Amino acid sequence: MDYACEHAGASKYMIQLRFGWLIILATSLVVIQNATGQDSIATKNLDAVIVTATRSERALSELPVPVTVIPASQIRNMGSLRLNDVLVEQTGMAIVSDHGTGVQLQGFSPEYTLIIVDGEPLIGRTSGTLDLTRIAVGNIKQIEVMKGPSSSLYGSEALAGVINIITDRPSGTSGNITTRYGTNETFDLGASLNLTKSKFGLYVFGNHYRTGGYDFDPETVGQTVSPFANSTFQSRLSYKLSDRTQLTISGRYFYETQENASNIGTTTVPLVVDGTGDVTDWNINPVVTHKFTDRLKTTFRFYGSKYGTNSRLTYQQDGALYDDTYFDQAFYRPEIQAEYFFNERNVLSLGVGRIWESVEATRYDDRMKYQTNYVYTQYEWQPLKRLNVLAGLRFDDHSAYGSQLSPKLSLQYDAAKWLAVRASYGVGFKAPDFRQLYLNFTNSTVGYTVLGSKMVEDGVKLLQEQNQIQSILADPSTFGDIKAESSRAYNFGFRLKPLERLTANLNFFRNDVSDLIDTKAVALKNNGQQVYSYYNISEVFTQGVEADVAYSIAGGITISGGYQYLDAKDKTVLDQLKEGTVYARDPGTNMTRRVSEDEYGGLLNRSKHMANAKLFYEHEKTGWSATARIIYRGRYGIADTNNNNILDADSEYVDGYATINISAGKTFTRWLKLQAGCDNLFDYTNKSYISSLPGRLIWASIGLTFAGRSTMSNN
Amino acid sequence: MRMNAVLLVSLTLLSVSCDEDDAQPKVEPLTASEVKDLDATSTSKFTLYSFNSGAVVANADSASAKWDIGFRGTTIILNGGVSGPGVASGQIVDGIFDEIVEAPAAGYNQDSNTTKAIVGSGGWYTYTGTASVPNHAILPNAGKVLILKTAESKYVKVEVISYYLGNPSTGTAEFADLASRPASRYYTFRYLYQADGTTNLQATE
Repeated sequence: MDYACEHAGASKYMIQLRFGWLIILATSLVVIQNATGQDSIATKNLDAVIVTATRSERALSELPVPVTVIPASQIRNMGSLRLNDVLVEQTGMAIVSDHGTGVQLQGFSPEYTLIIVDGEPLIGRTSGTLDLTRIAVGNIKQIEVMKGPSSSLYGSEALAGVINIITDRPSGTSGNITTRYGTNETFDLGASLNLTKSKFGLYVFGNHYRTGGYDFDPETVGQTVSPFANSTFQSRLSYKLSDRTQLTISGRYFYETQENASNIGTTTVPLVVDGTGDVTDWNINPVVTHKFTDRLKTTFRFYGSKYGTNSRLTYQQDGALYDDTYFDQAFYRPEIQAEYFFNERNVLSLGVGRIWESVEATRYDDRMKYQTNYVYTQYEWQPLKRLNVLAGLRFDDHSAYGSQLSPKLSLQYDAAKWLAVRASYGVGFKAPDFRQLYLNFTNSTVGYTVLGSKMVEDGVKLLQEQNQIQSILADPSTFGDIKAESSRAYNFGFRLKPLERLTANLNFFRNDVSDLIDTKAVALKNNGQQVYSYYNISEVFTQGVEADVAYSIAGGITISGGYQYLDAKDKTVLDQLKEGTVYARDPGTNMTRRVSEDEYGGLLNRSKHMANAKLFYEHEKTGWSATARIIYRGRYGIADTNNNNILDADSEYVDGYATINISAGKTFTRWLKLQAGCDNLFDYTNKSYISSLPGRLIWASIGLTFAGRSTMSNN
Repeated sequence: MRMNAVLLVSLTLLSVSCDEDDAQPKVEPLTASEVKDLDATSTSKFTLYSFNSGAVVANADSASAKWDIGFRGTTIILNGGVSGPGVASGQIVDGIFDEIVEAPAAGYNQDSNTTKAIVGSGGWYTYTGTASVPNHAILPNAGKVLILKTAESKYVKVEVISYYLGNPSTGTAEFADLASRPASRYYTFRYLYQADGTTNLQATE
């Protein structure tokens, strides 16, 4: 719903549109990149080193939790530009649009997946979605996707999983510049520089991205995706203070601007407003690691980040101001972590930290603040040679809504050389966000009001004093304190390697979510509109199975396939269906009938079936590479159209669809690379329901690499 | 459990058939009637209707107890409270029209200055606005049955079926397009009127 958006009225459309086309662009690009990535991962990277599961470097094969690793080589072969391009091609990940481009993991909405860069969270979510198009992929070393809750290590938001973007770090001396141009006037320029000198290392990355967007409905004012441009700068500096101590400072700056126009009048009497919106985010992250002894390693981290948006719309006619909104968020976090290696089979980690968060925006009364103190511990234990155990526990104490305890236990047993069995149980949570606690927003055109749970009692009282309330629908004092949304999750799976060149992964999952935060009408206003607030209500579950298979044929060819089956339902609705209290009208006769349990399609926007099939080719001798990827997303619910608030009628679904993405490239004499590709080869579009999927996108790129001594290894 | 349930059902059936045998001759046939395209297009006057006579009542009789229910646009009034001189009251009950065989004993409201007994938006209908398809449509909520006590204290159950001329399907592209959508403010509804004053609302076969 509109009021869920943290940003003010008109800018919402802008953001949506911008995201939309970003998504599209990204999707096509990403598709290409991803395909390459996944294959390589499955085959070559079984022993990839990953950090997401423990916050320290560990071999993937020893970790008892399901982690997908997408290496840079795959991303480059696919030709992806933004993070959503990469993720859309991964098994079990759906890219969804809601005030931005987000990713759905194990059937959870984007707000339940934590997105971190080198271990530190990105901030700036709109209506819960962190827009993945904000993240350029040109400097990514690998992407680690850990499914299932990881609040035991990362706290809030890590309920569906964690996506950790590992960026390049200084190594050798080299430089790279890549430029690309494609459909919709999409231009991308990226450059990186690596400098190392004995104790000192520097990595600098810059990216500029620009697109003209696209328009599915040229008759109306404004584009489906309006033109936008963004720039990213990222750098990392490392300095070896001593044999035991290292200092690293990383920083990132992102700026995006988008033009916007929309018609707030009618088709016959248009009233056009236009203007620009911008997004800025930056962060800084100094880290000191110190080895007190060979057994005791400590890490001191500080992370500070700011995110802000501005949007200004004026009437085209006379230039008068229509809407001017801003949103500013800040996040600061110091943390200390210590790891103690008792021996090879016993490792203990301990961490403690504090988070300060604040938001100031058009829709909030003041600068709103809250703090979280937290402590976590983790134990890695190998009781038997074939058995790995990972146990974690975290306690978060939050100034606004209470405290949360998040345990997790994972096991892996290597039953045979070709078979590993994994099982894990964990608790994840998502703290109520600023909007759910403190929002104070009245829609100026429609007239409804949304109040955060902390604002509702006083807010309704004030509206009553102003004689704006006709009747109270629910006692505001019962809304009181909202609790964190939490989930209990079970994962069980196998890792198989029946043949030298054949690998497979199978994972069954079940998430039981309680205290989901929803909106409810509190009061009816005299203007006929309602006052809404947030409260804990729904209990939902998601369950399913995910399978990945990869086979590498001699000569640099890898084929792979992935599939996810998903079932995501609201338990309250299931109860009502069992009681027989859900009704629908026959679309032909309009007569009422009872809805049966097997007609229920579950939560909106979830595909029961998703699949992919990919082919990657890479021949080092000749420098040729090629990819072809088919990504299928099964039908999913878009909206309730028969007026019973659940997904049941056929007309409430969007048809399933497949996109095919291809790319090919050749590297000449190691320093020049030419690449071209086509995303959405068969030009699939659904203009009514999938505005984020552009038609066919054709692109070509040129890359130059300059390398100093012995640095060719970097990718 | 299952055994018990089956037993219970059989027993109930048994007792029902016994009752029917006993009460054979005195039941008047009770059947639902359908009113098609009742014109509620006036922006000033309510279209008044009597369940007893099964006909529209002239506005000249608005100050009498001759009518039970009135329609004007999406507003539904009952002849009682602030709306009329009668004693009509009503409530909205969740369920399927045919399955509601007994009027509730309590829970009836009369029209007041602030709220109508039969609540419109969120009550008997939903206005779709721009949030869902079809846009800007008045769709009678499924599973909402109006149980009324008429101006003469008789019970009647009513279900609004359509708000559009000709009771069109609301799932078609033709309906979705405002240009080709049939005219609004025409009620199609069905009702079952119990003239004997009891709460029995079960249709006879």
